[in-house]
Amino acid sequence: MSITIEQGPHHTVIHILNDSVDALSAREIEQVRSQMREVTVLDFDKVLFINSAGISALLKLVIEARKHGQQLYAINVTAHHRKVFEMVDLLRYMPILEEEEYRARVSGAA
Amino acid sequence: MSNTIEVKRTRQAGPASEVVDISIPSDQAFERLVRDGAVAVAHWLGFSEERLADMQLAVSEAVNNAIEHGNKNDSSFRVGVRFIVRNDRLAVQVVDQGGGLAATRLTEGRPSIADKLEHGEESPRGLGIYLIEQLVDDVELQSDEQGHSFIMWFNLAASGEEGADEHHD
Repeated sequence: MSITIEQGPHHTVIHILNDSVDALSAREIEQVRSQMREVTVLDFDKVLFINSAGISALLKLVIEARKHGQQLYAINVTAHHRKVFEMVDLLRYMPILEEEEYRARVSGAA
Repeated sequence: MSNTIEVKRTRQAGPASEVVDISIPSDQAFERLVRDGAVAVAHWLGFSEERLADMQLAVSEAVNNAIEHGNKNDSSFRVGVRFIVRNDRLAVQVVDQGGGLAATRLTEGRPSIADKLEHGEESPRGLGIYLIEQLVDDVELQSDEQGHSFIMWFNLAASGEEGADEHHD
């Protein structure tokens, strides 16, 4: 299993344990759609590589969140991945939270 | 033959001084091997971590494009990747065996995520090619009936703190 999920009544934290978010790991990431909550946070702490196939999987989560009026956030994003997310305008739909903001969002939704 | 991985390093006389060739079956399961090869070449050339990450992503996108759009996911085809150090530049050439001139083309600006989201579509086309164009110093696409050749150029002087001639053997 390359993903672990923590859930509260109104929030989900998805820890991606695979070091690559790419075509091979995309399907597993897409499958967490059904477990998203009012606030969903994707944890990229273990992720070393993301390509466009991985970004497409993340977009599916963005679409799901928008469909249900949910909020989607990212944490522990490297400077390089932040740059790539900015290039494709993904941060507009999946903002990056700093540690303090993350704690506030998750505890506020708990 | 189609399931073999080939890696070859040669020194050439003339303008191209150093060449590393990798050949993989046209299957995304093998894309990571090329990605790892790109990291090894980048380390050898003294790339900074940021520049290394840029090159790794650009190479990944070009190989995936060759597998999906060039070879149309036909695993009997191969994808060839050639790293060429030439003076103060690194060229990475990705070659597929899929014919057809229109299968791959350079983009015109950033693919719109917003438009796709509004229409419920999941993957803007051209995202990988757009990323390549943003991450490399120059890009060149050649196509003929035999396949496509995607060449990405990286200026070595801008790629790390060490000089372009200080390769690590």
